[in-house]
Amino acid sequence: MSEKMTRRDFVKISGLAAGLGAIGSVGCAQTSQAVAAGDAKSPMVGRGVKAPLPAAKGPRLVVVGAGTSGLTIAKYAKKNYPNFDVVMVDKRDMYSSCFNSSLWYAGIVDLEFLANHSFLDAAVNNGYMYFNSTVIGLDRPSRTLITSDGEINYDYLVMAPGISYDYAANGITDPLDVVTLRQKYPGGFISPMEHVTIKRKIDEFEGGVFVQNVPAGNYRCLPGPYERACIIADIFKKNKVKGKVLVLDGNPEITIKAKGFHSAFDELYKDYIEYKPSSDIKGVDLEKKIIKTEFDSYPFDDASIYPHVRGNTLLEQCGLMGDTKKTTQKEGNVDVRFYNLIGDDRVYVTGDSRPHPYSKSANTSNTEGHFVAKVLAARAQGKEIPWETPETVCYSMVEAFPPMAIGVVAHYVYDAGKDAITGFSPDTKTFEDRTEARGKTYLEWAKGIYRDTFS
Amino acid sequence: MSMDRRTFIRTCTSTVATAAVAGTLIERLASAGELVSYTKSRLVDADGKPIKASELSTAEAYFFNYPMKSTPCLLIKLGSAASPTDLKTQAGEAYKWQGGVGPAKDIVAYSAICSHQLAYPMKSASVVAYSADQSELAGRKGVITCCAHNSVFDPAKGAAVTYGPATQPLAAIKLEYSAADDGLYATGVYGGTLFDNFIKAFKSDLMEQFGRGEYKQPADASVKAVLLSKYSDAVVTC
Repeated sequence: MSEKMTRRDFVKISGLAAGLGAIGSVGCAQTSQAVAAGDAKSPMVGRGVKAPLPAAKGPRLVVVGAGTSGLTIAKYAKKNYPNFDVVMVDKRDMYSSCFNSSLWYAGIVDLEFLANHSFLDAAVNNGYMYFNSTVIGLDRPSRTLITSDGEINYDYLVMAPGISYDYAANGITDPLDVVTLRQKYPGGFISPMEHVTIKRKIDEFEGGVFVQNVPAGNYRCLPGPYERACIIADIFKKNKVKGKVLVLDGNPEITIKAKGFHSAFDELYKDYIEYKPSSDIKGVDLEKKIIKTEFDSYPFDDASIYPHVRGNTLLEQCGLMGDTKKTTQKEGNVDVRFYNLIGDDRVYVTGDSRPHPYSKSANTSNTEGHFVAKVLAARAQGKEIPWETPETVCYSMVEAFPPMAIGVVAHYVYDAGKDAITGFSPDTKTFEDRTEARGKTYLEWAKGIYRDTFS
Repeated sequence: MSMDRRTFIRTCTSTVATAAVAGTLIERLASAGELVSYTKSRLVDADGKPIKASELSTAEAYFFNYPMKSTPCLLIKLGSAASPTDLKTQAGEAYKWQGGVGPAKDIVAYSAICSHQLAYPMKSASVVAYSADQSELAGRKGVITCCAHNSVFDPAKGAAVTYGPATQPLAAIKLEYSAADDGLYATGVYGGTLFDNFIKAFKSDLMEQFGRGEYKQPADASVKAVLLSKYSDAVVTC
């Protein structure tokens, strides 16, 4: 690499490497050794120095991403194998959960419910270190993770960076359009900031059409957009707003708990929700405020536009993305059962960056995290363990005033012949009659996940 | 007999040896499944009158706090005898659940702290409850469910997990039956207890409800056991 290489070049090259697939040893930034050898004047922050961390006291497990997956793995890997020296790396210094966030719009929970959880406490309570820094590269041959605050050598690395939005998959590629959509009509399935904007939009809405779409593909939180549509509709109803929520669904039918959502749409929000299946967004005319689907155009007054999702772009930058023929959503190139990168059992990709057809939900990541923690503990001791299914338990508040929910509990089937996850297991149960009891349970469900990850 | 924290004694199921131990040690030992004896607490009703085993309802569980003032438990009259059962904690420690007590050997009690993620019966709502009637989740009657993440426990078998993500039985409360007056006493706890985790997770709430430091005081010589539906505004079964 040349001395004058810029960050942008790095990204390009590592992206290319990932695309080629075969060049597994190419990271997205150079390590201190490489820098010392000939690139000492590198302008990139974090390069050429070691991260300010104490020397590892045991096999070092570095976890990238303090979401449900990463937090669960950091805690339970340490619990299962106390010799692990665990470092959690996250660029955020404030947590706010994405799960339950739609409930905040209606005041069912407050911001404190979502955000009163400290990475510091999680680290102290569970015997690991929280390192507040941004990952900028990975060099797998030397097992080095590069952050904006220096390099960290790992024995095991778990990448759990979550999703990125993929506007291009909706046919929206002009960077100006993408930036405008992100800022003006945020999807509300990644950052807390988006929720702040969406809540303001809902509170200030005075009438007309509010679009809440549902992307096609395996997007984060299958019931999330439908739940949000219900909550927005109930707020409009309460505020006596002369408006409706237009639900443009990129799928031919409601993707989960369909009966419960249809009942809510029909029985509670007949005048407030219009549901259009098979209506994936193909473009947005931002000037005229018109959304285009394959066959139709829909004028709107305000919106939360949820684009298609993909594995976090960090995976691509670090060469961990799967062959795009196999993972249409640019997710991690990992073993179906044990989550290690194909050909490298020291690097794992978990949580919503996984390529599995699992529901991208908190409960899935939490239960999967328990399993991955066991895999890591076993492998650090030279053992293997059998595959376990994650569990998807999720509730949806289909009514806000009073809070009433529906729910589902699902497991998955692994087919050894195909080496693939082939669907839900037969013990999957749905609870589609909305009740206040389930509304209360929903909140307890969330508190349980917070406890399991932070306490 | 009155006991305070200092005089708590540990009684091994296999020996009669006793030793004074500190709270954290109690937790550690109890996690290994062994019986830890606490205050001998008589179960009384809301008016303070001793509960009579023969008069307990089989339709619903009773709520009481034991072995600390804040730690929640369920008392259940199953309606048919429950035999001793061999169980294991999450850590793999074996222990024997004592079975039901009382004239019909059908009265049982458990810590109501879910062994999965610590949900427990609160005044505002209880997602941990006993279904004398059909449980939708379990497909049968007479189970304890934690609806937060859908775990099912069998109270006739030492609260062994029969479904869901919980990884060990609910901790068992040792009950003693006094035939002379049909009375019931809680005397200890065994199995996989989670009191340290519980207090850590809910400390702020417990301080508010019971007072600073009070929440971790041992239960009194008599503790109130009331129908869960009287204690909690909303009892959620699933």
